[in-house]
Amino acid sequence: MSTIAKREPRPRRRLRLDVSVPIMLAPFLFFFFVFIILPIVIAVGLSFTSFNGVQTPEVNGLSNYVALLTQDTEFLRYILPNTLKFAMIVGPFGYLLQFLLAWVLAQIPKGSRTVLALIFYSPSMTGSVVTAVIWKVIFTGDQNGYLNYILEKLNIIQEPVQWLQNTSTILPIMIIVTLWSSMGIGFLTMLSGVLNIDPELYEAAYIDGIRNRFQEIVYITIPSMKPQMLFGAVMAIVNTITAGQIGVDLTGANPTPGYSGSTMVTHIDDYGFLQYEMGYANAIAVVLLIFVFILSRVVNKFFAEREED
Amino acid sequence: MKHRGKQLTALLLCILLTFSQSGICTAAAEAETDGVSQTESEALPDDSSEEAVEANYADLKAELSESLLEGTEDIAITADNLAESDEAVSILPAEESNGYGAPVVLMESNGTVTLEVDVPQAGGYLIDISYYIPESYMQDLLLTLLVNGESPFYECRNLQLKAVWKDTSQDYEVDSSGNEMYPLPERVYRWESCYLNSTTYNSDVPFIFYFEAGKNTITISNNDVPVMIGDITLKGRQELASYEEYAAGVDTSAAADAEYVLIEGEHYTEKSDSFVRPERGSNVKYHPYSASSRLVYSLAGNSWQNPGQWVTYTFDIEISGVYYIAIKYFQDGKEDMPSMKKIYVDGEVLFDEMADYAFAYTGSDAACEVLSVDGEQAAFYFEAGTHTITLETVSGPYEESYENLMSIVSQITTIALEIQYVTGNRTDENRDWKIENYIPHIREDLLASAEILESEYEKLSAMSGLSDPVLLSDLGTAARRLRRFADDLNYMINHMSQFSSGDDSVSGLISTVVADLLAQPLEIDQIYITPDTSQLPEVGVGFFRVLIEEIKKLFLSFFNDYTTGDGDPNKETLTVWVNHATTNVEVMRQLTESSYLPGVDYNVNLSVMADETKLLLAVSAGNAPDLAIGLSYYQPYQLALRGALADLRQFDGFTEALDDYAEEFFIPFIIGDSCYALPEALNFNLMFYRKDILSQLGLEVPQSWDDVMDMLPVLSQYGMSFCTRIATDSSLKTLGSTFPYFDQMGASIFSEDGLSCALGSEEAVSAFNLMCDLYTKYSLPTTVANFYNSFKNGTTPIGIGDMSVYILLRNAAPEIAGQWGIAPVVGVEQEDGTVNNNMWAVNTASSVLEGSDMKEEAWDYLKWFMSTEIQTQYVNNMQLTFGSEFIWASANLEAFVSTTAYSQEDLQVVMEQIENCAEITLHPSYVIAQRAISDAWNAVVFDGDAPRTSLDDAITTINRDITRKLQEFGYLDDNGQVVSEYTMPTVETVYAWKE
Repeated sequence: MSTIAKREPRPRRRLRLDVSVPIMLAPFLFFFFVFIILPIVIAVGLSFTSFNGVQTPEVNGLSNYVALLTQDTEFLRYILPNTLKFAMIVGPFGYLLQFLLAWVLAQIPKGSRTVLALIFYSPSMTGSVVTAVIWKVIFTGDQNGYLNYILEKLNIIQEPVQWLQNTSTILPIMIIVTLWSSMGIGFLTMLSGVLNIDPELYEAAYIDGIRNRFQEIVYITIPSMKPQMLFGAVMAIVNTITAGQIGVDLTGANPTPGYSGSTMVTHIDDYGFLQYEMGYANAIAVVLLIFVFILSRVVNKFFAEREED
Repeated sequence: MKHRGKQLTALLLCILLTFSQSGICTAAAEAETDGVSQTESEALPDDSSEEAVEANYADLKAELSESLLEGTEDIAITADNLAESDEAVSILPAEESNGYGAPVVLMESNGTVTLEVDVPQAGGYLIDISYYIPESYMQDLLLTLLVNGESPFYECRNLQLKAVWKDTSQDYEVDSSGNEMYPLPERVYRWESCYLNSTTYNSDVPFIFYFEAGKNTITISNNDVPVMIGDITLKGRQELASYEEYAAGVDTSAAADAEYVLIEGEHYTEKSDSFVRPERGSNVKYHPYSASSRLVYSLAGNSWQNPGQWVTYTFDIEISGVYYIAIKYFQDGKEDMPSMKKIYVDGEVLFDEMADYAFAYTGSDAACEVLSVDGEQAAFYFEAGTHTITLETVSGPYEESYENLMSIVSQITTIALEIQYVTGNRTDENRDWKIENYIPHIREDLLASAEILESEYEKLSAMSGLSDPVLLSDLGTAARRLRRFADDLNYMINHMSQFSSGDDSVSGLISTVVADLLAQPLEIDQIYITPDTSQLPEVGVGFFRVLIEEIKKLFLSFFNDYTTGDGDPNKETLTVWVNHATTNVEVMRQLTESSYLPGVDYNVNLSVMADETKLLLAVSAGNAPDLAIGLSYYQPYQLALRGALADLRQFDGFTEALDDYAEEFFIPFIIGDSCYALPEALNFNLMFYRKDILSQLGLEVPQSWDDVMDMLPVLSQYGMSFCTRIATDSSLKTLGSTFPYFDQMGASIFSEDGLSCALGSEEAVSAFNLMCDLYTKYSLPTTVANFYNSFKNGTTPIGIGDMSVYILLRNAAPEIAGQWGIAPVVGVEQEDGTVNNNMWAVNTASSVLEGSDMKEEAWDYLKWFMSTEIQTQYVNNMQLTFGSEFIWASANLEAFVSTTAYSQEDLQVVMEQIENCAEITLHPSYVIAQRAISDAWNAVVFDGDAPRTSLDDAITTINRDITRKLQEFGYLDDNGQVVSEYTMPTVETVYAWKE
């Protein structure tokens, strides 16, 4: 086992700094600075102010953050739990689903694999508005909604259910819809990861004594595609935390009825563009950023540690 | 065991039902007048609607056709035959007749005149009437006609006389990007004559009126603008020559050496309606074409698709002789079915075959139709000189199909009501109905309907020449489904949504097809008058040519300049963002260029604002316009609170401008003693009801919510319901839906000092209870996905809707035309017995931006645009150019009333509702208030919470936000002490400004 997994040490070459390196890096650094670093710095800056979008921002210290933790009851009662619930279910399950589907697809012939991969991948390309349009048809609240129609026909319900207005059904629907569209770029990466594994590894493993497909996955497949797994995990986290918009698109209202499907992303939108409290919205955005950052560090650590043994 | 029990219960139920049913029948027979039995006895006969007292023409048509006289002399009735008239009628001498040459009758609006006529022979006559409409009136003139004091048939209540229109100029104006603009229409004043005909069909044989021998009277009432009536002529059957007869009578030698005459479709010289208009675009399949700009290129096919509408082209012939007429056209509106037109040459239908000429479906590629008779090109003889060709929309053979199909729809409605009466619309898959015991004829009726459907399908598909025309596919489905229903009546009862209600039901399917059958779109690109058809150019455009042109257009589009104005760089430019469609902006632009720009020394740049929430971003980025027009009513308040808008009271002429509006309109724009916007457009709420269904159910139009609650049991017995604004709103119930309940109860959301939420008051609590009870206790539907549709198919025969519903019903629901009415919305009955049905009316508003350095100019433009004169022109130009469905509800009340889009009757109702307006009072916390009320309602209706506790939660939320918001805007300090007073806006503030 260990002999197989061991890699040849890379030849170490000293990186010589000549002019070509900064020149080649410059475009990327420029855009990275302008479109990533700068907005983040500004957002962090604005989060310490009271800014209504029109008048000059007034510095008010930490009071936005204090308000977020002490006064914004919606945030603590609905938004945070929703975001966590949503992320906890969609993140791991979506990730697992991505890997399983990628692995299953890798087992079938190339032609049908390509077609199926495209089919699984396409929902993630459609924007959340389009996704909402498709799913709204299914969850429409009158007798004409597909789901209501079928359930009524099967005599499971007598009255149409207001799927998208009822506070207890919105979040589950959001989770289902997001899972449906979660076979994104992470899924494609994992698929290529599975396909790239040298088949000889499996043969060797069978000689060494593994007995079934499950062991194959655990001992060969996953260890051989760690970089792809890491990438997929980071993407899954970022996506789940930022995917809350679907609730707003499905229900057609921000916030969703009774905040039942509101997540941090829509909360930012609510304060920023509906109530014009840009400073406060930025504070929530910064908290969200920190969230994502911490989670991806954790994931990174998880995969990185294993890489070393 | 369980199964047995079920069966037993079913049996018991059946017995019970049978007895109760017969019980009701006996009750009805005994003529007891309690609600239910009355309903039963009235539900059965159709056509009991009080409006349709007289028979329809269709019912009398066969009889009247037989009576139509042939070869009789024309009987002229002139002003001398006047027998009786009221003060609104006068006789004008020949000199004042605008060139008629004989004395004429002038009828002011609401005038009535009776004429006497001696008829030598009893029988059916056609009535030909000469008239002159001296006013520029957009709608068609409507007359009522009685023969011997009685209305011969229902359609006589509204007989239509068309005015003649033309384009002011066909040298189209060009905007700064080189796009041609739609021409404006103007009236042509001249004497016209026409047969009184059906407005729905424009039948080949006009209306036939039966006259007894001897003295008869004809009474005409004018329902609209003044009109002059010349001779009225009674005529017998009008025979048309056949093509052979025509050809035999003319010189058939070809006009050798003559060139063909080319007429562009958009260059019509006269038209029947102001809104018959050209089409515009950039498409290589049409002529003229330019890849870089949009040119006016054809006569828009759907602008003259209704029977009775026509266009006339004028052309010159240089050499006398025989010519052929070829028309290059597109017909893509009526899939696989032909459009029918009647073709006049020099004002006459030359031969029979031109009376119903079919233009086949073309799809998106042009076809060139050489007018032919039986496959042979028809030869027209033209003398050298000026000639005209007129194409008039007729329904031709579709008329009969339409009648037959509509009779099926009304039969389905009747059967459905009968079934719903028996079943109470509660469906249960496990229950078997012996429906034939209650409605014995039902199976035969269904089969008979299916047979009519099948024969219509055969007939219509024969017309198209295809075996399965796309347009008709729904008819086939409907027929198959009727047969299946007849086979299995229980299946039908459990699937009523496939029978009578819903878009996909049998009646829904037929209704959609029927509406399409009557429309006859035909887009004319060019007309050729040619002595030799081989001269004609090729009309088709190859695939590669289209591809190349599309690529060219794509690249050219990168260089388009979308700004407007005269582009003089030395002048300053006033930037105006308009939150409306491009069609509105185009009309505004025309008005600005013709009436505003000449008087000022700066340019005006009007641009469409795609998303009004971007205005705030533009303000913070420093790119804001000088003036924003058409913002949602709540936007000015939001922006003004944050200092982005200018106080309009500082400008000259503001106080005078106030007079154009109702004081109440300003409520949403007031902060303190400042006003930040002018109301721009209204959106009225009305109650719509189906006259036919309500009268069949014996229900009255309700006035208050109590009346609604009283009628609900009857409605729900038939599976019908009442539509509210809350049901049509999205999942967030906006203040637009919820505020009226509180307001009508006399409650308000915020306290007078603005410092707390006033929803705890007794009135507010009872308003909230009402708002919830309607959905919990009275089971109103919480969602009506599309009120217009469910109103049309009768599942929601009554409900509250806004202007968009009115426009749709008036313009897109021919199958229920005349069967619906409007009334002011229902309200809350007050202690003194009156009903408070106040509703908001302001929809959009316009504001001057504070950051602008051209504030005075912006106000000047806004003042000009909202002035009565310009708004009136704007209202009319919108409709004249784009058709009656483009109703612009100007907030300038005088301009609002000037529109002709509503009938007088409807306008009265609309005005009554607008006068009872109560605008939504805004407050810094209104966003949260709206949300909290919506959530509270949601909790009660969906989660079953107690109204009082939900409302208390809402109050807590709102109060917290009030403190937060008032602190943010500096009304309160950090300790919650009042720093500066917040005053809730009231109408009194506006009255004070006026002084």
